[in-house]
Amino acid sequence: MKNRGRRVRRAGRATVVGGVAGAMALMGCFDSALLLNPSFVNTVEGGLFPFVPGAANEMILIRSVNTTNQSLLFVVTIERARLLAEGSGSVNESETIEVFTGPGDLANEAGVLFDCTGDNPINRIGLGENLNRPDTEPGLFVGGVGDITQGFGVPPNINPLSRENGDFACGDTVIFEAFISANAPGGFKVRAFVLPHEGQPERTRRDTFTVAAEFLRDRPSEE
Amino acid sequence: MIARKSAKARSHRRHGLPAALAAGASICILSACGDALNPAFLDILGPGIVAPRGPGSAGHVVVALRNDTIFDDRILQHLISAGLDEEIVTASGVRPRMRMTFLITFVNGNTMQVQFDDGSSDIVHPLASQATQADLARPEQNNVVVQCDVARVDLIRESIQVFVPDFFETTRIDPGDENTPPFRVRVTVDPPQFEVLQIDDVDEFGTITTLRNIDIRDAPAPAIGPNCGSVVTILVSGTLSLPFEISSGGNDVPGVLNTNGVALAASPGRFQINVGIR
Repeated sequence: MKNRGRRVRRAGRATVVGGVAGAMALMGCFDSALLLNPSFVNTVEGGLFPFVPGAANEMILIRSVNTTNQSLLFVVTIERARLLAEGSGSVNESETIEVFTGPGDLANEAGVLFDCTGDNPINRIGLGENLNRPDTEPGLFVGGVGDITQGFGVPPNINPLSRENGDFACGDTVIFEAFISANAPGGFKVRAFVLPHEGQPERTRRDTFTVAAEFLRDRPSEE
Repeated sequence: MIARKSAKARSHRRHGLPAALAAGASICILSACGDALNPAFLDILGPGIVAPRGPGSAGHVVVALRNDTIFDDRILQHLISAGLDEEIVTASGVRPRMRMTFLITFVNGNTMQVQFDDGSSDIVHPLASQATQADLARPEQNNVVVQCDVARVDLIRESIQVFVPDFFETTRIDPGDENTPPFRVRVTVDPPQFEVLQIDDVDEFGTITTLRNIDIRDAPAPAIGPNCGSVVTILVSGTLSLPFEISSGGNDVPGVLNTNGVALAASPGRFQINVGIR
């Protein structure tokens, strides 16, 4: 009886060890993406698909992530400096787009690529049309269905990110995540993340954002 | 012996379990599990202890629109003669304003609708109403980045629109009477507005019966099963052009006679839409 018990335990241990070793072999010695869903592999290991546009593409990706159970419309504003006539300085020009996200999985996130070049960089990024009023200007519309029906507005209550302060750089990915918070005005809160391009793998299996940048910029000339 | 082993085993379990839990928690904290913890708790620990990576991503699919359409020069000249600033018209990158809506279906059945707007918003007749200006005020958006995995991307055909920047007059010929020669009468004047582009009418053999705006071979097709990390490209090309007709006032303006169905069907121009996956 005792021997049987020992044999069972040994067999169980061997099974577990063998299974772990097999999995490790799959991940390490073989191309895990061949057997496993590449999306899963990219989440765990990275290196298959890029998360950031990268400095070479001179773009910035702004992602809006909705982790609530409501439809949310993110009011994303970027600010650039436009040079005036010689010697007259520059003026800040803002550009606002509305990004709609549903409550369902996968459909709860949308991002937009913006040009961010050395000559025309983005200086500030935030939620709400007026970046100087993050505590009063609505940065989210809850329960809205795009332009057809708008729900109630909620201020983001986070300061806009500033390139000059080092919050982000061209080539990075900026993420705004909205979540339910009982203590926040309106019941929703936003937090910001930045994925710096420096920390990302230099090469990935697919060069998504390079392909996108080349396509968008390959406009025929006047001639 | 058995009693010692039992005590030893119990001791191992007593010390082993909390140690394992602590180790697991540490590993969890230091790695991606930081996102799962209450941010308020993280704030207590301090920023140096945990650095949440932010919402993770399996990868992205980009849907990108490029608008390569152009204006017929006759329309631009007419707008300049109506008072539009010539500098606006001759600026580089001037192109007709397009808008269209995409339906993105994910592998789990959830969907997302996105409207793209791209093109010049200041090429419009100077006498256009405020409502028209508001319609053009929507900021440009020519791409969207969504999570993997995407099942299909459809361009909703009824949503493909181009902004006609000029007034469009429909006139008819009044035959007059014995004392009055035939003369033109204005029937309708359509203000500058978005017009839906229509696909040619064809018969069962594929022969075009009514020439409209988009050849059936150039009509948008859905992008099926784009791989994670790929880019769905939508290329719109063509020319925004309007027929010109003598108006009721005797001027040459964008318009048609009400009997000229062919010219009316072909307005506002000929376009091609090419959908690809890169």
